[in-house]
Amino acid sequence: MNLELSLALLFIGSLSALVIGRRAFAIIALSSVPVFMAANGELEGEIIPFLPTTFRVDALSSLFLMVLAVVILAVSLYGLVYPLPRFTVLGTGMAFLSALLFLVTDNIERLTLAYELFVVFTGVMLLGFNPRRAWRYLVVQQVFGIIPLLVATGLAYGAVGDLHHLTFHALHESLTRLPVKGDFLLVLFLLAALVRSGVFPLHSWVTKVYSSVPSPLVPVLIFGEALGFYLLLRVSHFALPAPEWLGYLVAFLGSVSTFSTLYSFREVRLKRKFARHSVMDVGIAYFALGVSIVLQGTFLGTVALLGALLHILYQVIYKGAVYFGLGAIEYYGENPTVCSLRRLLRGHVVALLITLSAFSLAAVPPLSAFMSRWLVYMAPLGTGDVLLWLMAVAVAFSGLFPLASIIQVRRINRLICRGEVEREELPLAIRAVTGGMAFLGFVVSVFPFLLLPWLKASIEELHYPLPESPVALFFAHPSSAIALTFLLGSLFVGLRVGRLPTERVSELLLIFYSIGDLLRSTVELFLDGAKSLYIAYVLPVIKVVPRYEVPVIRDYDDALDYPVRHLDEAMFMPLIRFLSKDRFPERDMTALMLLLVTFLGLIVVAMGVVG
Amino acid sequence: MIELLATLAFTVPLIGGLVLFKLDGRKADAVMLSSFTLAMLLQLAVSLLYHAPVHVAYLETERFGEVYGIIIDPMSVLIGTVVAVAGFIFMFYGVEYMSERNVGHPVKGGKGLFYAWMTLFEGATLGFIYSSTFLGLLVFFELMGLACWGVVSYYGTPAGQRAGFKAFIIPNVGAMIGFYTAIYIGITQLHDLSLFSLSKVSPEVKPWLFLALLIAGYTKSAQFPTYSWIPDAMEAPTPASAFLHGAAMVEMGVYLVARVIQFIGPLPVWVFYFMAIMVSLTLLIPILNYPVQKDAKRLLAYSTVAEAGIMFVALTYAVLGSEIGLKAAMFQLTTHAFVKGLAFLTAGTFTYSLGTLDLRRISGLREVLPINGLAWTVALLGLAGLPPMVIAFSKAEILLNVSLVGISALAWLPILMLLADSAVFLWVGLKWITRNVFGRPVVERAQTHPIITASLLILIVLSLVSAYLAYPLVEEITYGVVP
Repeated sequence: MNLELSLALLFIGSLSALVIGRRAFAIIALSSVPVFMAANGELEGEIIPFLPTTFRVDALSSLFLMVLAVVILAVSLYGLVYPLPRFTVLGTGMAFLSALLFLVTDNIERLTLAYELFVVFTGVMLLGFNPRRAWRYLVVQQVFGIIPLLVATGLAYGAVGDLHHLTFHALHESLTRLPVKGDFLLVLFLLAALVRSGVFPLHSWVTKVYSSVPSPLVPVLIFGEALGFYLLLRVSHFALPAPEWLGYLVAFLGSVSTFSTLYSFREVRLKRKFARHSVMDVGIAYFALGVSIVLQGTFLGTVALLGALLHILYQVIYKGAVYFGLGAIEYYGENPTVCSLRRLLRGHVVALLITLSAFSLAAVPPLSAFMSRWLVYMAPLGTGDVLLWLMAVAVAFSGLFPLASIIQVRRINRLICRGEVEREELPLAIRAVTGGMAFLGFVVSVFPFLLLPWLKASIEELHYPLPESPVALFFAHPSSAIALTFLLGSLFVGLRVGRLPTERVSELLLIFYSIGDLLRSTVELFLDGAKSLYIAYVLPVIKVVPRYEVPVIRDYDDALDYPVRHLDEAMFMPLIRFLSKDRFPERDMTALMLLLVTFLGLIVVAMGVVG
Repeated sequence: MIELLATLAFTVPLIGGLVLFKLDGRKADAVMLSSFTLAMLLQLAVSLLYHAPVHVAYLETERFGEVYGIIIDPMSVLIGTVVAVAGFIFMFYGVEYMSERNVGHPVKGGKGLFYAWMTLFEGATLGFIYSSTFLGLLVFFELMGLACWGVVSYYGTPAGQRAGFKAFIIPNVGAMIGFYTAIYIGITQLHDLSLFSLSKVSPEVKPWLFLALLIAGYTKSAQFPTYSWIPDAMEAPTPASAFLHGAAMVEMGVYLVARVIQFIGPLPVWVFYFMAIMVSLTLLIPILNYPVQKDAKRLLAYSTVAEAGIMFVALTYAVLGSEIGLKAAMFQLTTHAFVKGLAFLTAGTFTYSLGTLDLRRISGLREVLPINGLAWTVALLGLAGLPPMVIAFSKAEILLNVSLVGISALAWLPILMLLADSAVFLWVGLKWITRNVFGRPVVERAQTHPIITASLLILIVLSLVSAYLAYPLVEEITYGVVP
């Protein structure tokens, strides 16, 4: 009942946005109540009468549903006072609806549909602000996310044989009937998860998209990152047997993603800066998920998995609070840069709340990221696995930059932003939402026992050894001390690095920047190479292009005016001309007809003889 | 009762078409719209009353068996309804499109001739759908070809006349190969022209007969190597293009092959190999052509080649014994009709309101013609297979056939081509949406008309909901029909 009600409210709210604009957020906000209620209890059944969809809300989906309810409420309340175009409100509401469907359905086909819908409606959110970015975002998500998921669904159907019951459980029971190896299916799901979460090497869309949409809507996309994580967790732990290589691969990709935070150092545009941190945070969660796959069944595996879950959910909250704060700057009509922070910093409680969230991101004790990263580091450092150790050290190294980057913002602000700014009032909703999110992030990190029952329940089905209390979890292994040392050490170094001049740090990080540039150039090289090949070899075949003009064509648009060459006509005409001895083009069609009629007659006679 | 309604559904437009040759002006509008409305109402009544397959033999002889008859089954009811509903919407829009207010193609007189061909086209298509014999199929197939020639060459330009000639000849070549072979075998071996006799064809001849009919389907559906008549056929007035591409001509090739697969029984696996390779070659053509098209209708024409190819992808798997392939092909036909119709009618509004089809000269629809901009966005994203537009659902159903890779690794090829087509079309479609809808407006104001706007809005809704409406009938489609 709660699910139906929330879906109905989201649907009605989204559609009504076309008529009443941002006031529709009031209806969308109401849906957070039934979503929250649905998260409190295990449910199973069928929803959406015209598109029967089986659902199963277990402890894992409950955990994500609770965070979704918070995000829906926060974005909607904020949206009530923030000017947004009508179809952006529609896109936001429908993106929430898709996310809800994604989390509750246990049918793989419906999950794929929800994934697609989420992509499309987040694309709609973006379309009004930067159509080119929306275009690229949709293509990337289609190629690396939707297509692999569709193929995976088809293959899973081959094993289960029943679309209506194509559940994760049914797939797990039918693995022997899979038409391909299970590992292939895992790779397809992994691709979809990586691009949804913005994990290396499919992370490049994150900064571009986050900087293009209004800041109050970014939390929707941050929750989308959590959806990718949820997908991989669901598949690797509940549907397909996850081999060790997958764990190492996911951990490696996650640890490489954390290096994104290095790029935030040279960024003065705050939305892009925090987007870089977002890639890092998701990378940390993936790293921990990979570690949990490698160590599955052990207590350290449990620690890693709980760390991953805590980190991915914490980051939705504290990063959401940061972006809501940046939305206040946009509300003034300014771009959120280091200097435009000044207006916000002038006597506003919002400034304090953003700072609290930024310090959460920087893993300052006892705030959110500190608690989750404690678990994330503890698990790999408690093993004798050299690969996991190396990756953990890499993650810890990049983990010093969030604090450095925040200190740098303060330093630059004092250094170059000298103009006097006046204080402006902010609507209550903006202050309340930003404050509420920051406070929530603070509470759940300082009192992790609040979340522990849900966390434990969410992995209970996996039959992992479970901790009795938060103390048993955080001090489960001697490696806990090493993890704390890493965390505090990186804070100390981060503080020092943040005080260094930006150019000096950039010089030190040059090698990492060069690697990033090299990767980007490689991708561009492949794309340009494909375009050159197309222009040189395909274009002269499909269009009538004089040979001497081919070298001057640089782009697809340069080729639009050349007449089309029909391959079928080109194939048959020489033969017809040869047979008919007719060189006059205007009579080609008649000749073609005569020849084919004769040919057909022969076929018909031949078929008759066979008959 | 239901057989009478089905028969009337195709005879009413056939008669209306003949009458329209003598009419023009408002009288032509009235007779044409009455014919299409009546056909749609009759067809909707058939779909509402339908509960079990019905076979009626109208003419039987001792030597030829069943000569003319109809089959009313889930497949014919579904596709008949799609054709009748889509046809009505296209021609409702056509009333305003064929007016003096059309900036690109103002029509001052002579639209009765166009209406006559279109109404005949609708009757012939519905007749084709219900036919239960090869002779019936051939007659309606030829009538469709004739009507197609009439509408494509309607403007009388040299390019239009050439395109009309081509659109008539190429499917006719296929008809000669397919239908004459089938009729020859029906007369000489089976003494029955009914589709039901297909299962009695000897196993040695069966694959060859299927291949002959497949060629008929390929030519009608503009598949490789006979695809170019369809991009050229965009010379037709836009309502005719929408009908040709979305609901009638091209789709009937797919429908023919689906019907044959439904009745012919098991086929050897090499037929699957042949179809898989042919459909993959077909899909390669639009994939290569999308990036360098500047004309809205020509871009959509290549998309039609691809979408019909995608229906053939599903039928390729149906040949391997996948019933879901057969269902998916008809599902795709249904969903495509409305989305492609929307795309063409929107392209028609570019001619109507802005006087051009050159995509480079269309910009800022969001501000100038917002409904048209929305329609263009929905249509192009829908054709790329993105939800919530309905093609996403039918394509997803086709993709379920990838499970057949266990039987042959070649089963990957058509699926991969389908996915490549969707990705490339999305890329190109978004490029044009960005420019056409969100670009800087090239004109301050552009005229439109409530009939045009209403048609687009109805098709937008159908592009979102037709999958749900059609699915119950799609589910009932099976191999063989037992009346």
